[in-house]
Parts: sequence; structure tokens; C-alpha cells
Amino acid sequence: MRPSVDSALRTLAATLLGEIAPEVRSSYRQSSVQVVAIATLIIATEYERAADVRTWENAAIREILRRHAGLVADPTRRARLEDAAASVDADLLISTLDAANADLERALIDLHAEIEGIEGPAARDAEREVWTFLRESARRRSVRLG
Amino acid sequence: MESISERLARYLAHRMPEASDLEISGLTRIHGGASRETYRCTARWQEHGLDYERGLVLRRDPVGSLIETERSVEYAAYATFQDSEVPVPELWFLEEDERWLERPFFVMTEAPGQAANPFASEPYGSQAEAIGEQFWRILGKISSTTVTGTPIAAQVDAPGRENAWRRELDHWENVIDADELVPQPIVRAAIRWLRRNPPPPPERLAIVHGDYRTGNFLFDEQGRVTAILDWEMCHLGDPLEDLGWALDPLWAGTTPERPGQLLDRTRGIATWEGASGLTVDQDALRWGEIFAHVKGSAIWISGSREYASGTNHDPVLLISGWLCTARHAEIIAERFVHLLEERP
Repeated sequence: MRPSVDSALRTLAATLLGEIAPEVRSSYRQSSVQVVAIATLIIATEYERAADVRTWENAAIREILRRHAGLVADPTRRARLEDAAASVDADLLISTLDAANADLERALIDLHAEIEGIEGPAARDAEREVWTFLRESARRRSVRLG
Repeated sequence: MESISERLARYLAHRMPEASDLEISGLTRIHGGASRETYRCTARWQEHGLDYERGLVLRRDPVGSLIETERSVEYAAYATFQDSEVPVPELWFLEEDERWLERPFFVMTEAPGQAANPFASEPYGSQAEAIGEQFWRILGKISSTTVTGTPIAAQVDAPGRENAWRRELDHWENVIDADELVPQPIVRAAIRWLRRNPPPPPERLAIVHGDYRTGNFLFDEQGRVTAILDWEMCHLGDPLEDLGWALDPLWAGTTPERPGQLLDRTRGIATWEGASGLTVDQDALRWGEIFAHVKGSAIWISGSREYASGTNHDPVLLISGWLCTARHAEIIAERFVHLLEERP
């Protein structure tokens, strides 16, 4: 048996907070150690969920683009959104997922801006769908202390 | 190599020719001032046969920070409110010459009291109401201060009332354009909304603190607010900008109906209206609150850029880049889902 990465990080954070910080004489440096410990706790959470958040987001954005790219009148811009919708995650490395996520979010920004300027219920439905996704994404990426 | 204490003592002796045997002791860096390096120390000297002792605060420009601002603006803001109903520390000296402490700095007296951690739970305890009443009243006094002739008016440009919102939004959007490390679909959508729904011109052009919130003032054990701090983003503009920033749920912990974990929202706004003599336009306030989310996001994004580029290794930048950016994204998204639901 060996410690999992997130549990090791949490233990390291507890060591920094409970054992090392109290021994640091400079109050400024002591606060810095505490902040590093908090950052370590955040990294532990991020490590555990990173792949899950990104694969979910990438799939959800592709689905939004696939469903609503047709609202975009300009054929060049529409084609770019359709290409993004058809993309795939090449592997599950976080760096790969992040690169794909950035490309997809740029496409989502373009779609979102476009549909805001379109009249009619289809555009309003699409806008609602985008915001519902964005809210869920923000919730999944939220950072809580403690 | 000469220490900061020795160099500061040499500087003060230069600026205070009547003083002799000037010494600086107990110099310690204070955490939390991510926009400037902040130090606390004690100065002792003799003058005309008398002994003097003062607690001082030194604010020195950082190598990189959350906010890129001119120290002269911050100094002018403090100068504007010396001996006024807005409590601020007593200013001593502003020094732009880098030969003294390598970077520009200013010195002021240390005000009594402590600052709350804005992310702690109920940092004001049973004094929350009393402190909250002062918090909103003092902001009202800032908002109602006559701008003309003040030191801050001499330091910053005055936008037209019609364009105050655009200037601020342009500024912070430019910060995001320059510093974002990843695309920001939520913040970008909020910016587009702000541009499509501009606020009415403010009743008056006011001094805007720029970072008026819990954590940026000192209070003592009796529940008195003793000093309003961190004026580095001070400018002239719509007074509702400060109101929106102070109301931001980011500073409210788990009690968004009680901004800053102080007074409840309705009482806070009423207290501000009473002190400022201004009336809140609800549409303008909504604009100001959404703008506050965007401005906050820009600040966290900028801090993240500083940290990622290696300009500044302060871990506070890392934490704010993760925690506050994520929280503001949540706040904006929740707000816009509700706005869509309200739309006919």
C-alpha cells in the first residue's frame, strides 16, 4: 500500500499548518507557510477531479456546439464551430485535456456572442443552454476551503 | 549590506533634519498587502531635547503585484482624507527616488486596530452591526466628498459622467485581454452584457476608493473603525462602483444577504444613502455589482499571470488566482441564469 496523491498532499498540508508554521519565527513567513498549506489542499482537490472536470466539460461544450452551430449564419464561422464540435480528446493527459478545453471554450465564447445577437426562441434556448452549462462548469470547478 | 531598517532610518533622518539619534526597530513585513510590500516598525528619535516614538507603516512598491498602480495615487487618496470624517493614517513622506529603498515607497503612521480576514467566518463577532454601520456611513462620506481641489483630483483624470462606466470597463477588459491564461467564457459574457446594458450617468462624479470592502479597514476592540486602508485603486467615477464592490458576495462568506458579514444588505445601502445624500438607482446598482464581479475577476487573472510568469512568487497570488476566480465565475453564472429566468 502507498498513500494516494491527494491524501499525501492533505497530510503535507497538515504538517505545514500544524508542525512547521508554528515554529517559524517571522509572522510574515508564518503566514506564507499557512498560505502554501492552503494551496496544497487546493491542489489535492484539483488532482482528484482534474480529469473528470475536463472530460465532462469538453464533451458538454462539443454537444452545445453540435446542437447550435447551425444558428450561425456566416458559413466560415459556422464551419469553425462544427470542426470544434467534431474534435476529440487525443488522450487523458491533463495538458492535452487543457489544450482541448481552451480551444473549445474559445469556440463557446464565439457561439455565445453570436446567439446573443440573434432573435427568436431557438437562440434563446441556446443561450439558456450555454448559461446552464457555464453554471454547472463553475460549480464543478469551485474551490472551497475546509 | 545595509538592512531596510538602517536605510529607512537614514532616509527619515534626511527628511527630518531637526531629529537626532533616529532609530528604527522591530521592522516586520505584514502579510496581506499583495499590491505593495507593507512593513510595520517603530521610529524613535530626539527633537529639541524631547524623546519621540511612533509606530510607522512603510508601503514599498513590489516587483510585481495583483494590481499595477502608482503609489502617488494611493498617497494622494490618503492625503485627501487627512483630518476628515473618513479615518485614515497620518501621512509622513512619499519618496519616488529609488536610491533610498530600491523602489518608490511612502511612510505613514500605524493606525490602531486590526484588519479582518475577509474569508474568515464572522470576523466581527458581536460588533458586526456597529462596525457595519460605520463601514457604510464612511463609504457614504467618501462618495459625497467634493472632488474639486482635492489631492486625488490633481492626480487622476476625471471622466465625464456619461463615460465613467465605459472607462472602467475598458480598463479591466484590457487587463483581462493582456493577462488571461485560459479563455474566460463567463467573464466575457458578463462584459458583453455590461456593454449592452450601460448604466445611467451617476448623480455626481465621486471619489471612488476602488477596493472598499471588508478586510481593507482597521477596527479596534471597542468596535470603532480606525482607518480605511488600501487606496491604491482610487479614482474618480460613479460612486455606485464602490457600493457594488462592497456588496460583492465574494466578501460575504456564506451570508450574501449580509455583505462583508456586517449589516444586512438593505440596511447597508440605506446607511450609505443617508450618509452620501445620494439615491441608489436599482438598474445602475445591478450594473455596478456585475461590473464588480468582472473587475474582481480581472484582478485575480492578473495576479495569476504574475505568479505564472514568475514575476511574483507570493503564494497569495496563487490562492486568489484559483479560489477567487472560481468563486467569481460561480457568482456571475448564478446571476445570469437568474437574469435569463426573469426575462419575459
